[in-house]
Amino acid sequence: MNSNINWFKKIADQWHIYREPIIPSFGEVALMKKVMRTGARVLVLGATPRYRDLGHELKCEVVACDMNLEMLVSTSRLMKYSYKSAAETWVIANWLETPLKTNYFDYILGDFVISNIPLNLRSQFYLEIKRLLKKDGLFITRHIMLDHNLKASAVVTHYADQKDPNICEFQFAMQSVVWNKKLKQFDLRSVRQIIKQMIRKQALSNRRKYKILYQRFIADYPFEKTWFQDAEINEEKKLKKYFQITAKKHASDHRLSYLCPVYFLKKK
Amino acid sequence: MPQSLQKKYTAAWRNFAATWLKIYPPSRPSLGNIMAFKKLMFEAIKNKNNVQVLLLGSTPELRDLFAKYHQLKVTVCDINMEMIIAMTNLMKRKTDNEIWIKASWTTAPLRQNYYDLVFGDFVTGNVPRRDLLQMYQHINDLLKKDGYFITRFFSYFDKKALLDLDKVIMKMSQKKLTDKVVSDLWSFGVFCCGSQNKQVSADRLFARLKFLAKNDQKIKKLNDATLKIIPRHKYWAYGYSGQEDEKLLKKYFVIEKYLPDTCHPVYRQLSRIYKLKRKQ
Repeated sequence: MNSNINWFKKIADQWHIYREPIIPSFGEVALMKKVMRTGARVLVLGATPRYRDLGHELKCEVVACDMNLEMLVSTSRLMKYSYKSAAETWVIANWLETPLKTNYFDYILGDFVISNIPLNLRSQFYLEIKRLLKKDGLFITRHIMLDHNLKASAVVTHYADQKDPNICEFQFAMQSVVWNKKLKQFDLRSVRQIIKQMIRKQALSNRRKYKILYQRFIADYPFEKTWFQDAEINEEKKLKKYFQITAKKHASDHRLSYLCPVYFLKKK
Repeated sequence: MPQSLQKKYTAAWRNFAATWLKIYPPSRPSLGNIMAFKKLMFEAIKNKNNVQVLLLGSTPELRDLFAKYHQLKVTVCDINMEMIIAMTNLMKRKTDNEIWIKASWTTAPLRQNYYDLVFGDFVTGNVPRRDLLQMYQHINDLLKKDGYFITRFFSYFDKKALLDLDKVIMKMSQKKLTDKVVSDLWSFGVFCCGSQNKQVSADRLFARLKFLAKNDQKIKKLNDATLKIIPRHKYWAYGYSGQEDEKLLKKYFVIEKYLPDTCHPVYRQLSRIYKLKRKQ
């Protein structure tokens, strides 16, 4: 896992400014809600407030597991049912080795959780999820997809041209551009260089909007964090080793929903 | 546990965390207690390498003990995260070897047959009597077949050791007013002076302090200092005889051994550190 966990604090502090697609959209949450039943046992990997709200809305027993307490505390304030966070079970632990009960959960919800796990630890992670899930339980998670047709200059220009660009959307789109095929990681540090180069190429009068985009990007992004991602075909191949993909759905309420499908996975 | 009962037994800890520093043994484990815990722990984990430990509550003294040994993987379970955080700040050793879980001791969704040891310090009084067997059952489920529940346990083992509340108050009021005196007033005036309806709480102590303070300035000062430290409206399920308490324990555990609580002569007669083997 990421040994440097300072990025946690940054994410925890900034969670309130995150927008889709960094956080799940209501459309994506609705997709999940459709398959979930009331009164179930739900494990949320991470602290995602909308997932915890979903659990409370369905009157479920909600357990949230995160490596960092600050994430759970700060995101609780953003929940619709924040008053119910006191009734949640919180586990401050690594997802790879939780002390939670075997075959206990009806649903395990994750938001881009797979990309948090280095590729060499994926098997361990999937086995842990399988251990925690009931026989007919579902692992429901959004997962990052790549769009290889996206070009860096086009993406940067598109968002720089906007009056109030959705910086979360920009970060997300850039992931496809800066995916390092060899390391199987997103190299978002290089986005800084890309924007800087583009600034230099612009006429003086045109530079300001690129500079604004640059400033906003570096202010928000947790550069210490590494995201791990294999090619789509390999990601699914690995998933299928442990789970049956019962559905893969896209919401339609945000522009980049095609890059973040919701996987519904049943354990094999 | 119904919410009203949960409030009665656990909510006070949330506010109490901040004043834990002002509490002294016997209400916190003494060095002697920790040595006893350590002795029983090593007897229980002979030749084991990776030892999974579950701590009920967040007692810093016990966590400091665990932090010394890398083979211990510790899960700290407390119903209030505030308590875990506050107690962590009081630890003398830093450790990365802990998992924290905010959950009830009776229902925490933890892994079964997973723990080699479950530890507690005066935990049973914090659980309403009606839920006690459920907690024992739960601990039994979480322990490995050869696992042990090691806990400091308060009970009226010897009712002759019980004290008279007025005498305790008078004695404490004669001493120079310090945090230690207030802590002792809690340790003896709340727990060692008998129970009402098989429950003890500081409310009885406060009522008596208030009454006696009318004519005594020293008691008034003691009362004022006590109000700042001791949690009000918090209940503990004490008041049963040692035999009654052991009968319940024996439903789920085999009492393999116990050591006396060496904190204080009164506690020696009312408290023990048990090494309980999981009953198959």
